[in-house]
Formats: sequence, structure tokens, C-alpha cells
Amino acid sequence: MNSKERVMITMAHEKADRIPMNFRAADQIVQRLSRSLCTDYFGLLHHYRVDFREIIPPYIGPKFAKGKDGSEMDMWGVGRKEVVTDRGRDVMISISPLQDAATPEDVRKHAWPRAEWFDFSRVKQMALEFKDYSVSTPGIHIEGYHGVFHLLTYLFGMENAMTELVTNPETIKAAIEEIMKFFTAYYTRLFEAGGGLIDFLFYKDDFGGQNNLLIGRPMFREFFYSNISHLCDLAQNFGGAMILHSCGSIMKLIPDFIEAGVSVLDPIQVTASDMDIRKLKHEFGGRLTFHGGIDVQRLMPFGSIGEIRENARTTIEVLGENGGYFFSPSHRFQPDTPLENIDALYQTALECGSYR
Amino acid sequence: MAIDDICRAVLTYNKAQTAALVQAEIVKGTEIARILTDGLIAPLDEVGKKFSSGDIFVPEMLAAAGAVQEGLKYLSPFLAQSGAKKRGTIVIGTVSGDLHDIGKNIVAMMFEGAGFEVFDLGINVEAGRFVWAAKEKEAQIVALSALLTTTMPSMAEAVALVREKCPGMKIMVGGAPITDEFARRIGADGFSIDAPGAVDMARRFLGTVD
Repeated sequence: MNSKERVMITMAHEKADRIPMNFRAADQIVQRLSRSLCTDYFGLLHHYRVDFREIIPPYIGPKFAKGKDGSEMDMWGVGRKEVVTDRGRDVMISISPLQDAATPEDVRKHAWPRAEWFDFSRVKQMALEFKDYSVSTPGIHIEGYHGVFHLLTYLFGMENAMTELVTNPETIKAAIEEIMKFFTAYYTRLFEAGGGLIDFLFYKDDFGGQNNLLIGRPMFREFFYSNISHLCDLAQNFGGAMILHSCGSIMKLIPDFIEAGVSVLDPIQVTASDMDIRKLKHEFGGRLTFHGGIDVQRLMPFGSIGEIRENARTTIEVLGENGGYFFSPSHRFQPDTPLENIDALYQTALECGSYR
Repeated sequence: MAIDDICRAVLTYNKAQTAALVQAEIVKGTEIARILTDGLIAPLDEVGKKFSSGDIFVPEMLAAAGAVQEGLKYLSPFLAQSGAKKRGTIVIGTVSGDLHDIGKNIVAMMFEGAGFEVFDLGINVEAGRFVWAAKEKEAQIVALSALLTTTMPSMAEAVALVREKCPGMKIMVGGAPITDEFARRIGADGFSIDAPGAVDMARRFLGTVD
């Protein structure tokens, strides 16, 4: 059985030979693990029996000018600065181009990205190289490729976007429309170019915080539901399915996600309120496949090897009952995660994840 | 009643109207402390309660806090002259190594909306800067935020340094990975899971529960 078959059988809520595996980690962890195993990135994925691969069409659009303050710009016109701190490096948003946008006209005047800025000509070839794997659009492993809500917070600034959702909905909706024009064109061309070999549209947005939803359900329905539903339809028209990523406490939105057509839910942040795996499996396990569930907020950086093994076993037992579960950490492993913890996690998962 | 109109403006997230009504009350000669307490702090408390109980969410709380801030902009110059009792001074920041600030910003806005004087040191704040600012601004509370597990040790260091250099200072901590147990272990005086809880805690620390 190859990876693609394993993933498809699991998503059909049947038992494959074993639970499909995924892996994601901060760059420092990838480097340290690769070094310790004397391999490269793909060797690392192979080592942990990772069943997923992603296709990343190269960017060939206009070169990004540096921001006035030296910021690195992206295709949305959002600027970022790398900050070196005593705990490592991180990146912060330094330019939000729609910070002062007050009307839908202001938003439409912004230089929005275009699907033509990507080279889709080699997508089929890349997909063929990964033909035995379950293939996803970009984002399942690499950083970036965020969804509408994320992009609004980058484009308008976090607090400003949140406030404008309440006080200036028409301007926010104009931005959503422009973002969706790009997404629709980009994903249509990507799936077309993939010729039926792309299995998942990986869509990354965060609607939950640690304790509750970030936005209420009515606001989700008003601003974001139709985008997700539209992209689910798009993927399904090409024989694919959506993996929706939303961190945080999102129990109350799951029925909406299912109604919109989401097939797989990532990352199951179990340390957030109400995200109990038994409850999730019981209430939604028949209609959803889960991806993630291994805590990176406490367990992976601070837990003992024993706790990690126990947790991997329980998670697989609960979420993996009768298929419907892809094993993965609930976020990238952060640089404070001991490598032996990661090794113990995957070793246990591969031992317990067998259905045979 | 006009003060009620200010409340209504805050509760309907109307920034411009809040500012206009506050100005009108100042011109009318309404007691400054009353405009602050009944017109701005009271509705924001109500918003905080609704947030904590899950009836409203981050956008609504930010929009209400934004309206209150707009009102405070016009009220603040008069507050100093009015002889209204100061509610206390809080130094706040995200700890060293951490660049995340939405949670910290919400807490800072809610502190301001509750009438505290707030000095926001921003993100990636070294422990020594909390000490410097706490002394410089004669603060009673230092509030620390962290989002990443990798920066939780910075929080522990900052608590230890503030404890050592500023005896009697109240220290509160918060952020996604922070727990009550962690807060106790590193010697903080308090932990709150959300911004309205942080405001309540600050009031308890300063004995200014209305």
C-alpha cells in the first residue's frame, strides 16, 4: 500500500495498514534532526514515514521592492522584518498596506497579486514525482500560504482588522472579495495543472484562541463561511478535498466547517478550551477526518518521554478508531523541543498506529 | 441622560460619537471623574464581562476599547487638573524573545479603559527594561506577556529580576501557554486567562475595586 492509498482509505473512515503520518517543525528543528540522522529534509520525511507531500509552484511575478524601513515585502504588499532576539529569530509584520483604508474604493486601489505571477508549468511533473504520496497545495509543511482572515490581519494590521470587522464591514468585505479573486484563480490553475494528482487544498486560517473563538459564530458566517465553502467546492470539482487548519478552541464552528464541505480538520489544539479528542471523535468523527492532535504547547517541549509515549498511544486509540485520523503534531515543533521527544513520539506512533 | 448616551456609544462601538459626546460633557461642565467612571469605565466593564462569558469576542472588545480610548484622548488633559484620584500605574510588555503583541495590546487597552495609567514597552522587552520602566514611571504593577513556549523562560527571568530590584511590586503574567501553576512556580503574584480578568486583578492589587 502506498501513501496515497493509505491516506484515501483512512479518509474514507476505513482502516488502512497503519495511521497516515505527517511531520512539521521549525527550521532549526528540521536542521538539527536532519544532521542527527545524517540526511536531508526529504530523508527526514522518509525516516518518519511521512505520507504527505506538497507542491509549491515557483513565484515568477514582479520583484518585491524593499519597504522604506528595510522590510521584506510579499506579494500582498505586506512588509515583514526579521528580529534577532536572545531566544532566536522571529519575523514580525512591519507594514500593513491597508492600515488606513477607509472605504471599499481604497481597498480596490491596492495592488492585488495575480495567479499569473506563479509558474504552473512544472506542477504536473512535480505531482508525478510525488505520485505515491498524498499531495497537497502549499502550506501543509511550509510556512505562509494563509487564508482570508489571516491575510486581513496582515493587510489591515491585527487590531485594526479586528475592529474594522465590527465598525467598517463593507471595507473588509471588499478586501475579502479581492483576496478570493486571487485564491480562486490560483487554486483553479494549480488543480488544473495537477491533472487529478493533487489530493488536498490545504487552507490555513485561525478562528480560535486559547480559551474561545476569536470571532463569534455570526461573524464567521457573515464574513468567512462562504469563502471556505467556495474553496471546498473548487477542490471537490477537481476530485480533491479541503484540509482546514484552524488553531484554538473552535468546537462551536465545526458544524459550520462540515456544512461548508471541509473534509479534514487540522490541527486539533488539545490544550485549547473544549478541544477534547473523545468529544471531537464522538460528535464529528463520522463526518470529519482529524489531522494533528499532538500538543506542542506543553507535552512536546516539557513532557517526559513516558508522557509523550502515553499521549501518542491514547491519541491514536481515540482519534484513529476506524480510520479518520492523520497523525501529526498540532503545530510545528518549536526549537525548545528535545529531539529525543520527537523521536519517541514517532517511534510510538509507528508502533501503535498499525491496524494489522 | 447624556452620560448614558456615552455608554450607548461605547456599547455600539461608535468611536466618533463617543468622542463627540465626551467633549460635549466636558463643555457642559460635567464632573470629569464622573464622565470617566460612568461614561467610559462602566460600559467597558460591561463589555469585559460579556467577553469573559463568551457572549462577545475579540473584535467587539477591541472596537469598544477603541471607542473608550478615543473618548479618553479628549478627557485625559482634564483628568490631571481635576484632582481625580489616580487609579494606578502599570508597566506592560511582551517578554524578551517574543514578538507577539495582540494579547498584550488588548490587555493594555482594557487597563487604559479602566482608567489606569499604562506604559506599554512593546515586544521583545528585556527584563532590565521592565525594572527601569517600573522605577521611572513609579508603577505599582508590572504585567508580562508571552505567547511562545520558547520565551516562557524569559518570563521567569523577568519576574525574578523585577522581584529582586523592585520590592513590593505586584507582578502579573498572561499569554496562551501560561498557566496558574506556571505563574506560581516563577513567583508571579497573579495570572489571568483574559484581559477583563487582568483588569479585575489589577483593581484587587491596588485596592481600587469600585
